[in-house]
Amino acid sequence: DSSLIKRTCKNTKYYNLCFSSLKSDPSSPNADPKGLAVIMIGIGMTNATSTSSYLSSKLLSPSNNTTLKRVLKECADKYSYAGDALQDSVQDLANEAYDYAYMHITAAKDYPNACHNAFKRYPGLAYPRDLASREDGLKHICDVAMGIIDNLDW
Amino acid sequence: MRYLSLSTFSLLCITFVVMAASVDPLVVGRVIGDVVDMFIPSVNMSVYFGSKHVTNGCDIKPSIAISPPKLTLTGNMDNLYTLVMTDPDAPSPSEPSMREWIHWILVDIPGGTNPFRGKEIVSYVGPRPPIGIHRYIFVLFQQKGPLGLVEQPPTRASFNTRYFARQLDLGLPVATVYFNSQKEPAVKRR
Repeated sequence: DSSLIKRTCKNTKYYNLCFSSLKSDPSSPNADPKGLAVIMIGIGMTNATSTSSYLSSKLLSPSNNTTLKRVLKECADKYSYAGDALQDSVQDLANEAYDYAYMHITAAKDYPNACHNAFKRYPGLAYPRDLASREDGLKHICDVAMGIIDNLDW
Repeated sequence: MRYLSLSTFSLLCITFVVMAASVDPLVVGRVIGDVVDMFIPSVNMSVYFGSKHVTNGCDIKPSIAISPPKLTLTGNMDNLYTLVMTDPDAPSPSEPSMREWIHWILVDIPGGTNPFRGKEIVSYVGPRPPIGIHRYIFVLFQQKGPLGLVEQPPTRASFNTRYFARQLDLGLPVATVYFNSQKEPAVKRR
């Protein structure tokens, strides 16, 4: 039943994102609130990893803009690290170290900023619109996960 | 003029203090500023992770700091001390929204001994810097008397050493030391 999902999502920043994400996961009907947090973090990991892969694929396109390639490489690494931080937070949840779980998700949320800042270092490079929307997407997922963890008993 | 005027002498003193402050590693590392105010050390505190001696600004790998350090302090046996270890760079140095993150708090440590003779308020957790290079700071305060019951902070995040010291009337630190640490390259699990 989805009443737990609804109650859990009510305490998060983005209800619609939270509800649709959790509802679409096949294991969510049997999950407790902590399990819902793990599901959301898993969605964040997938999101971060796919952005990292997307950025890596852009490196393969023929371009003589070495600065852009260097920044894309840096961004691919940052999103990969975001995925790692989210993986750490799953481990933290398993260990009931909720404050560390929260900290690692906050860190995962900051890696997109590091990518954005890399673009800002070079005024000639425009920050791609699709990357901006991926940045927002990951940050919103992290906000939802943090909202769920906020309401666990710790 | 045979003697320096008072104002010139004052300026020289101020210049000397400013010069001294500007090369103090605690100022350069912004430990003074971010975590504590300027203070005059009056106690010797030595910190070792294994055989590695912690000196201001040195690098320590998270893997060698999993267990509490061997820490000893000088000072009169009759004096009691409080030790606070925090990370002002959590979760990242560029956006430290969880500053300060608590790693260890002990009170009622007798002078000339070590933390395990004191009372643990927050248990030790080693550095786990998720992003960037973090500073980890040990701050030692002298107590005015036994503290007894000290409330445990509800979470490790968003702690404030200055505020904590003010609450317990600890005054300025008597010793500090800090190290840097960053995430070690992990073996990819995927």
